Amino acid sequence: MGKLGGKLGGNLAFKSGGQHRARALVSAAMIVLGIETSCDDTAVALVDSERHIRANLVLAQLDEHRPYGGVVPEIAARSHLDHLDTLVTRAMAEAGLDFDDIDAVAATAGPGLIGGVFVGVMTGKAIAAARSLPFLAINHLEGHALTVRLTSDAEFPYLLLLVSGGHCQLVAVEGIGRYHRLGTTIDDAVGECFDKCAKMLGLGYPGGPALERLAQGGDPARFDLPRPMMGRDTLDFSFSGLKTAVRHRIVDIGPDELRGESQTARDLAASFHAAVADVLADRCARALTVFQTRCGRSGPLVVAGGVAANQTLRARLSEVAAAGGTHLIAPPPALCTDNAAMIAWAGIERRRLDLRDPLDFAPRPRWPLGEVGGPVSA
Amino acid sequence: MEQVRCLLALEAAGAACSAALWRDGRIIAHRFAPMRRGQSEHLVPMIEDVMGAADTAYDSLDALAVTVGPGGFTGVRIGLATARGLALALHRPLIGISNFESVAAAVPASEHTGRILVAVLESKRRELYVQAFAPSGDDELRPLAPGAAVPPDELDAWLPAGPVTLAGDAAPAAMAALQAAQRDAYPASSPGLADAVQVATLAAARPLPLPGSDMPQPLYLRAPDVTPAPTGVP
Repeated sequence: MGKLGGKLGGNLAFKSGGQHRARALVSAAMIVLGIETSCDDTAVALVDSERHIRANLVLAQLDEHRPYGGVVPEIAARSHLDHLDTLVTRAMAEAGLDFDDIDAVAATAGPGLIGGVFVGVMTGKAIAAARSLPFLAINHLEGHALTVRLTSDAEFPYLLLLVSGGHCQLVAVEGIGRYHRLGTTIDDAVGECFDKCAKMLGLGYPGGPALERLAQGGDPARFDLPRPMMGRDTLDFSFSGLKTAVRHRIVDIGPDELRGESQTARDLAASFHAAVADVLADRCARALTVFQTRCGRSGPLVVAGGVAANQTLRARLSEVAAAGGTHLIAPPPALCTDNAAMIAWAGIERRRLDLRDPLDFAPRPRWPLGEVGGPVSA
Repeated sequence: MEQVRCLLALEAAGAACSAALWRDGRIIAHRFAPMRRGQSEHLVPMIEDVMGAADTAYDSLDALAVTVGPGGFTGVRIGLATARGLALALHRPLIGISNFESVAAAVPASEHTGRILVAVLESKRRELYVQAFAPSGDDELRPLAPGAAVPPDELDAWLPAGPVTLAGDAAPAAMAALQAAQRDAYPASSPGLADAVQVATLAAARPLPLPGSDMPQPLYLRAPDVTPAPTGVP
């Protein structure tokens, strides 16, 4: 700098003034580091309050869990520890930021597999302590619930369908920390049902996306599968009966006819898909009328969670929303599956209300969305 | 070699939680609390407390140190994740110390003169985590073999021949097993749980890891239990 200054004189003064202003503009935006380690993805992101995702890294552990046909908590926890610090370093480098540029640290503190959650929370607390930054213990579901405000101009309230491997719920999202659950699954989550049916069809783990692909070439009307809870007055879901029905069909058909993505396998996958879509559509249509009564507006309908990456279901939910006089908002698939951008964003939303969490925050393996705190006045 | 002048050490892998600040050759602040669980809540406030009591800012630290296990898997990760987070955010090196070394370092030299020093730690399973160190005489603890998970009834055969002094929270269990095998064994007078005081002192005597070197790795000594998650496939 000194050398250059001597050579370029006034020109440099102008330049550095410009740089200074640019830096001031950048720092006007709050930047939050987000950490997500609650299941089988290690994720780190940097997001600013102007809704720019500065870095968004997700390291999937699929290969480590595949031999066991499901997520093994201890393997997941070990893997999170193995990779998290490198991922933080890489995210900072990709965003061209140092810890001095960060305004807060947000980490998923539950619900989820607690061994992994500990790794993310402790890393987050340590960075926050070392840099005297606010720490935010984010509820993973709140991350999903607020993603749409990172990716669109969605304003409160909205009706959220949260569908993932661990959850299936309908929530009236009325503000930060104001999450009113309208309905939830009484047994399996919808993503879990997808994965289990996929496994029964020999599609490996995780089978949800493979099942969606298989269904595309199938006849959804060939197999008559149950639509649990459809038409019922509540807004709850149930998927275990559907899963059992699929198992019975598979036993009846026999392995030979289902081998190698046969037409029968495609038809069964498509029939399963149709049943799930019908149930979700029925529940959402009903929920929209309840939401209208409660919140005084017709929508919008927002879908989030890993299953929200399913294009067939998205299309169906779009129709439901339109029929209910509103529209569907779905974040891009990469922000529907687990990621840390949503955790950083939830951190930004909470920091805007001056919320923070103490460094003795105890991670919560079970943490219903309705128990997430908000501003005191709420 | 650059001399460490100020170092923060943490321990959460054993049945306790501790933090200690070492500066210019001595411990100037220290907190220790026995606990089976709850390290995730207590560790960082304890660090803040130690830094405050020592009137030391984080950026005055030259290095960090942490126990890497063996111990509770969760506790090992709580300590390591915290220490790595601090090291990352402060751009400082991190030194890993095993829980074996930590409990062995607490034993007065006079208690293992001419006797093998054996660190034995609770595994919450049938096996004991064990590592043997050479009799006192050297300045430093000298391990005779890598640590291992050993069933109590195989402990006598696993250890090198000779009289032993036992340290660690599983010393009573090891004592019983070795007495049954007619081995000359007695327990050390030092506390059985690893403590950040020893971690700090041991780490301060080590060469500083070079910038960019790998972070210390966990020492689990046992493969993961492969119980699928409750939300996994049946």
